[in-house]
Amino acid sequence: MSNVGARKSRGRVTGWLKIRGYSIEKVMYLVQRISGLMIVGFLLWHLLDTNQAYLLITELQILFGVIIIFHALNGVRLVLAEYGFIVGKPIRAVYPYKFTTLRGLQRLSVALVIVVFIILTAIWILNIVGVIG
Amino acid sequence: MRESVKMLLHYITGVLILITGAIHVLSGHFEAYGLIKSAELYSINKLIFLASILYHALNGVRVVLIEFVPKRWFTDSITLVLIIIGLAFFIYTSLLIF
Repeated sequence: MSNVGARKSRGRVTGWLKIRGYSIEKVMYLVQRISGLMIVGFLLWHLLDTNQAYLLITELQILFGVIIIFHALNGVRLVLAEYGFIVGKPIRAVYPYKFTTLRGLQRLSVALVIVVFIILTAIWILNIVGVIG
Repeated sequence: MRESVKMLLHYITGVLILITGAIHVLSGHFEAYGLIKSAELYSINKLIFLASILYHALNGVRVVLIEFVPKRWFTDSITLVLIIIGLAFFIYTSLLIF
C-alpha cells in the first residue's frame, strides 16, 4: 500500500481546516474536533475549580452550553453513521457517478442536527438571559 | 486493545455521558421540584458520568495527538501517559464526590 497520502496529512493541523471542495460533513468534523478540545478544557476547569466561580460569567456559561449541545447532537449522528444506520446504499460506480452513500438519510441527519442545534441553542441562551424558564 | 474496541468504548461512553450528563445538569431542578431526592443516587450518577467523560475526553485527546505524530513509540507512550492522568483525575475527583 502506498504511504504517500498518509504522509501528506501527517503532523498538520491545517488538514482540518481544508473545507473548500469537501462536503458539509467536513465542516461538521472540524467543529466537532474544536468543540471537543474546548470541552476538555472546560472539563478540567470544572473538576479542579470546586468553587465554580466561572459559572457566574454569563458569556462563558452560554459558550460552553452551545459547544456541548453541538458536540452531543453531532456525536449521536456520528455513532449512527459509524455503524451504518444512516448510510445510503452504495450503487455500481458507472458514469455519471453519484455519491449515494452521502445522500438520503445521511444528508437529512446533518440538516436535522443543525435545526435541533439552533432550537436548543436558542432555548439555552433565552433561559440564561432570563427570558424563559 | 484494538483500535476498533477503543472507538466502540468511545461511542458507548458518549451515549452514557448523554444520559448521566443530563441528570447531572438537571439534578438541581429535580431536587428543587422534589422529583428525586436522593444524594446517593446522584453520587452514583456523578461517578458513572465522571468515569465516562474522562475516558471519552482523554481518548479524544489521544486520537488528536496520534494523528499529529503517527509513530509507534509516541502512540504507545501517549496512551500510557493519558491512562495515568485519567486514573489520577478519577481518584482525586471521586474523593471529592464522597
